[in-house]
Order: sequence, then structure tokens, then C-alpha cells
Amino acid sequence: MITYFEFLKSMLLSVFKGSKIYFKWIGILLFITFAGLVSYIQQLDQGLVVTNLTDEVSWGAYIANFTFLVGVAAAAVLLVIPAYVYKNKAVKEVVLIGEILAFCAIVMCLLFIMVDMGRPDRFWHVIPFLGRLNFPQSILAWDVIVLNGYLVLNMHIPGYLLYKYYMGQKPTTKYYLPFVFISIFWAVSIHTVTAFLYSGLGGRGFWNSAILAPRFLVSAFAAGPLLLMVVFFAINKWYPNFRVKEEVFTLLKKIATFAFPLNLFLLFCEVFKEFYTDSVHVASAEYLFFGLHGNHMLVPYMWMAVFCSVGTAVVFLVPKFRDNKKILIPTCFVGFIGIWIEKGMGLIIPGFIPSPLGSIVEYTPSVNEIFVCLGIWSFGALLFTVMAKTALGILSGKIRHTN
Amino acid sequence: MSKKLDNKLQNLMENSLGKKVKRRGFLKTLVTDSAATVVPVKTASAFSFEKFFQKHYKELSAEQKKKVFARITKEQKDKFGVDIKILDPNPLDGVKYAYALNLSTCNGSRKCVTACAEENNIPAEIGSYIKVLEMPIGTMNPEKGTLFYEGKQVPKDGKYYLPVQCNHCDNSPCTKVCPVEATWKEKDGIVVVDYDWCIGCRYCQAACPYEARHFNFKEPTIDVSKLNTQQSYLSNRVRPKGVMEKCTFCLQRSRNGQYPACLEACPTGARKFGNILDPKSEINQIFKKKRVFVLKEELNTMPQFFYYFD
Amino acid sequence: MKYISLFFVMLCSYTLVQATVVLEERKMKLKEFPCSSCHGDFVNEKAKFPLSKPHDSLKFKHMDSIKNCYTCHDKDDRDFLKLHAGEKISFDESYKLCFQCHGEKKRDWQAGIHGKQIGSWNGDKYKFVCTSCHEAHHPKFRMMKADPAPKHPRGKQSQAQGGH
Repeated sequence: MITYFEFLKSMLLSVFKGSKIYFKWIGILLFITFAGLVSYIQQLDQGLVVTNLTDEVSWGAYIANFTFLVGVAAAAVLLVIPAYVYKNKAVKEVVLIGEILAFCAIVMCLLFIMVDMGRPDRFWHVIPFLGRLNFPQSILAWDVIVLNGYLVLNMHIPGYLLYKYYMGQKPTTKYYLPFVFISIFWAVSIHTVTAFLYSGLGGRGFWNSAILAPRFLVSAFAAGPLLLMVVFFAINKWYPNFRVKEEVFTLLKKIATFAFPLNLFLLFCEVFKEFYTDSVHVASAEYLFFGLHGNHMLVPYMWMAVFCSVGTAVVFLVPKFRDNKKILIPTCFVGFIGIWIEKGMGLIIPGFIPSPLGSIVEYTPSVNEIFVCLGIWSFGALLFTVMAKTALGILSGKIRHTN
Repeated sequence: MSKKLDNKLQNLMENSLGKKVKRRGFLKTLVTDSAATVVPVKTASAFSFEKFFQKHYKELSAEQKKKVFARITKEQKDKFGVDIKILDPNPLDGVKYAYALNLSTCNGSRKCVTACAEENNIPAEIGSYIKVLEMPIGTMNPEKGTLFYEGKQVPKDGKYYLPVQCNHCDNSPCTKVCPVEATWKEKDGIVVVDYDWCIGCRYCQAACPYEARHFNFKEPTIDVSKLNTQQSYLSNRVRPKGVMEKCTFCLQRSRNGQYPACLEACPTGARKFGNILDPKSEINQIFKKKRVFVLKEELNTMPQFFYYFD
Repeated sequence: MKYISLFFVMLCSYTLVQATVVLEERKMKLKEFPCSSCHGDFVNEKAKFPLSKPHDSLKFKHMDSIKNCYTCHDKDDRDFLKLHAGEKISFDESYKLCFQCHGEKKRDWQAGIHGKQIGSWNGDKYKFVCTSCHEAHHPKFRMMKADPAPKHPRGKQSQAQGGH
């Protein structure tokens, strides 16, 4: 018990030690987080009127980011399966970093949900038995359960393993391995449930499609490796005592090579169905790709997202490009942003345009919203940086329990 | 027909419209444009443990309800300086409400829209629970219509008018998706919201195919001079910020045997309302005699708001 | 016991059936009534529109084949109207004139489907008669000014087909 507190203390202390670059990075993130917090306090005071949301477009930047980040969290499974099912040693070394990333992504998801709520003071209403959770009828109730469950899983597994490594002890299999296998299925479930939030609504023709859940998962498996690669590149560059092996990068590149073209294919399937059928429901897709009745705000963004994805797919298919770090690293950013646009703004907003009674109300996030979003992203990055740095300290053997 | 009864109903007619009936019985509304004392109610009420831990409406005992209503009454007295009454009428037995609207008769006057706003203390930001679409003849596609028509002379040639409000669906998607059951369908068919339980996630708004649900993005701006003091917990009491609200078939009126405000305001008599289980009601007669239909039937929401042309 | 409960059921259904519907009275709303205060024995079969004061604002547009006021107005008793078969009816029962031709509307109106009634959906009602909405000589429902349009959420009219 005491050793556990010492473990926590060591972790906390290691947060305050680091290189100049580390502190610069943390400083920037703290600043942005603080700006986001100030904006959120304004929102708490005045209500969601500080956003650009309306009755017609009632979900915007917050939910778009939430949706995207659930995918990022689910992508941890891409490391878990090779590490534990295929017992890939190189991946096993870094799988905890992936799980910590998933943890931070879920924290960001929950923060985005919280800032989107009209009454965050009534959060306890969703707690089962304490409140009145509408399970199993409401998919949002399912989401509450699966997201928090995934959060707990990704707190326990790295938490337990790191503690054992810190103590120099061998982890007991039965205390973590079953949870690892549960987390594989659970990761798929979080993103499926989040997709079902949208695909189950008959009144929103743009979302009411069976292909939505597969699209979500594939785009998560496309964007996830990119983020992981960037993180691992950063570790290799700036964390001296730990080296992510080349094998890990090869694996992630392989996954992206499959996932990007597949994601484009699924998008094409959706586009075909919309435009070939040419029913009344095509209006949302028409708005997204070509503009509708003179309203065309999202059109440049969507096409940019498509080109980003195509470009990324090409890079991963050509060995000369994907093995060249100077091309690969920017591609990771480009691909990530492309998926972010396609899945975030390119999925949520068109679902509301046109509205069920045919109105077109366009939406761009307000300044307040943008700051809150940036604040949460930077808080997530901050949380991940400190947690990963500490984990790496333990994994590299630098932080150990001393009697 | 006794004279006494006739006078009583005459008064009822005048009172329900809030205005004297003019010569020839045309039901013109007197627009009183006095300097409205609009109160953007911003004073956040002090935190109270009772309010924070208040249970779901369905779980409140009679005693707890009394306390809740007393708190609300006091809050509104502090905010507006007006004494209000919080009612809690129970659903009537053997009653299932339905609404019918004659699209051949509706002339797009929007009197229903205005009456709804006044009866239900709807803030200016939301406007009204009723939206009227001006549609070109020959289509039922709302995309081809407009909510923003100006009408110096309605009805216009080649157009028909389609008022839309909450349909109180039997298979409502909104009650299905609410994560905390803050909205549900009552025994008499009315879909209600517990404004003190709603967490403001707006999932119901995403789910509703009729744009019937409205969100308070800020503390509501209430015109105190027009405040309707006959309020009910589940319907027209002043809502707080951050929660949903919607048409409740004027629950505070209909459970008391009265017609909803929109029906009484309609100058053409296009709106009909009543108990569909009563074979003698006009709504039941419409159902039997007229070719009624509902909006977006393919979604199988089973609306209780019927339209017909005749 | 059985007979007592049966009695109560009959009493209840009797009272239910007896939910009163009060019709609007028209006579008191007619400014120029009683007609006999001006109109004596003189009958002008060839009266054409526009009429002289105080009926100068009256327009006529209802069935081109009616050329004669006395198709509906009673020649012999100017304070009454008359049905096609000759029966005298009061101005309060003017709806009976409409019913002669508008059978479907009659049935709908009696059922409460056409026209306006207010009051109680499960009790006493006040029913408006034909002429409270349809001016007898020019029955087409009047045009009116619609209440203001809602504000566009972005504070502007979105230019589009279909008016959006």
C-alpha cells in the first residue's frame, strides 16, 4: 500500500523533471488550456448561446471532436492485438503508450461531452442507479457505460503494469491479461456505439446508414496509426532513454496502407448511394460536396479532406514515400487532419443541413467554441505528455522503487 | 340553451382569446404593443442542495412535489415580482389526445404561432413551438417550402400552409434516445419534458424528425407583462437555461378540458383537437370521415397530429 | 344493486350526451337589424349592386344565378330570411340557408369538423355559425395579414430556391 503511494509520488515528481523542450511544450499547452478554461467559464455563465449552435444545428464543434476522439481511443487496439495476441515483442514494449493515449483520448471525449451539455451540473443524472440512466433504450446511455468502462480499463492495465515494473516485479497474468482481451472487444464497441448514436436516427437521412459504423472504425484505424507514429517519432527524437523499434513503425504503416484506401472506398460507397439514388435525402450530401441553394461553406473543407486522404493513401502505397521520414511525417499530419475534417465537421454538420423541415442554417464554430476545443485538445496533449513521459521513465528502467 | 350558459361561454370565448369579440364575430386579435417589460432573466438562482439533488418527476412523492412547486413559485416571484400558480394536472382517464389540421382551410395567418408563444411563456429566442411552412401546391417536401414567408394577404395563390409542431408520436424517437428519461410519453399521449431533470445534451433534438424540440441556449428572455401565471410543472412554467422545451398540447389547458391555445386562436377553424377514444368527439369523426395522413410516415414515428385536405 | 348501478350509468350517459353546444347568435351582431325599421312594404325586384346607403359597402359574389335578393330575403317580412321551399327563418338561423346547397359542409359543421368551436373538448362548446366567417353576400373567406415571420437563426434570409 505504502509502495503504491511511493509509486504515485515518483510519477508525480518525474513530471517536474525534464528537458528545456519538455518545459516549453508543457508551458504552451498550459497556456492554451487556460485560455480554453476561461472561455468555458464564460459559457457556463451565459449558456451555450456563446457558441454558434442553434436549434437547427444543435451539435457542432464539441460533438465533432468527441466523435473523432472516440476513434483515436479505439485505435489503441491496433497495438494491443499485435502485442498480446501475436506476442510481437517490439510492439509489446510500446503498447502501454498506446493505452495511455487511449486513456487521454477518452478523457478528452468526456470533456467534450461535458462542455456540450446544457446542464453539466446535472451530470449525476446519467449515473446508473443514482440517476436515471435510460439503458438499454438510449444509445447515449450505452455510450456513457462503454466510454467510462474503457476509461477504467485503460487506467487499470497501464496502471497495474507500470506499478509492477516500478517495483521490479513480474506482473501477475490474471490481474491484467483478461482485461487486455476485454479491452480489444471494448475498443471496437466504443466506436460502434458512438456510430450507432447517429446511424439509429431515422429523421437524419445522412446518418441513417448501415455503413456508418464500419466507416467510423475504418477511419479510426486510418487516423490512429498516424498519431501513434508521430508520438513515437517524437519519443525517438526527444526522449533519450527509450527507443521505439522500426518494427513498430512498419506495423503502423501497414495498417495505414490498408485503412486509408479502404476508408476512401467506403466513402465512395456512401457517395454512390446518395447521388445515384438521387432521392430527397441526397440534400445533405449535396450540401457537403457541392453546396445547396447557395450555401457552400463546407465544400472546400470536404474536398480538401478527400485530397488529403487520397494523398496519404498514395504515400503509404509507394515504398519510396513511406520510408522517407521527410515525406512520412508531414503526411501523418495531413492524413490526420483529413480524417478529422471528414469525420468531425464533414459528418456532424451535414446531418443537420437541411433541417428536418427543410431549412438551411449554416454553422461555423464561434471564437468561444474554438478556444474551448483548443483548450481540451491541449489539455489532452498535456495529460498524455506527462503520463507518457512518466511511463517511459518506468519502462526504460530509470524510475524504480528503492528501499 | 340557457341564457346563463350562453353568457358563460361568451365570456369563455372572450377570455380565452383575451380580447373582446368585434362586430360580425370576426376573430381579430387586438395587438397590444405597449412598451413591453422584457426581462432577460439573468440572475442565477442561488445554489440549493434540494434543487441539485431533486429527483425525477416520476419519483417525486406528493410531499416533495409540493416543496418543488413552492420553490418554483418563490423563484418566479423573486425574478418577476409576479405570483404564479404551479399546477400538476393528472392525465384524465380514458383519454388519448389527437390533433387534426385541415390543410384546405389553413390560411397561414400564424395566429396559432403567436397564441402558443403567449400561452406557454416561450422566450423570444425560441419564438414559438409552432412553425408554419408556406408550401407550393403539389409537393409535401418541406425543403421546397419556406418558414420565413411574409404575408400581407394570405393565403397566397398556388400555396398551401403547413403548420408543424410536436406530433406527440406514439413511437417517438425523442423519448427513445433521451439518456436520462427526462422526456417521456404520458398516459394520455402527451410527450412531456421534466425541465429540472433534462441535462441539455440535445440528443432528442437530433432525433426528432419534425424540428419540434427547442433548446434554451441562454437564460430565457421573458416579457413579464405578458406572463401567463397559470402554469404547470410539466408544461408552460418558465424554463431554466440549458434545457429542452416543446409543445405539450397545452397540457395545463387540455387536462382541464380546454382546447389548446393554438386551436382557439386559429381564425379559420382549421385546427381540431380532442380525445380520439371518444367516438363522439370531432377528432374521432375526422379520423373516420376524412382522408388523414401524417408527416414522414415512413419513419414509423406514429404521430398523433393528423393532416387532411378536404 | 344491479338496477341502481344501471340507473347511474344511464344518468351519466344522459348527461354526457347532453354536453351543450351553444350557437353564436347573429341577430345582435347585425348593425342594421331590424330591417323593418327602414324597409316597409316596398319591394324592388330589380335592385342591383352597388346598393344605396347604408348598404353601399356590400359586395355580391355568390352564385351568378342569384339575381334577386328575395331568393333568400323574405319579401313579406323583412326581419326574416326564407328557405327555398318558402319556410321563414330568423337571421339567427341563417346557416339553414347555406345548408340548402352546402350539404357536405353542413354535415362537417354539425360534427364540429368544419368551422370553429371553442370551449371544452370534453364538455360545453360555443360554435360559430357560417356567417361569422363567411360574409353572406361575399362568402369567400377573407384574406388577412399573417403574423410576422420567425427570425432566421443567422439573422438573415438565406437565398435559395424554394424560398430558403
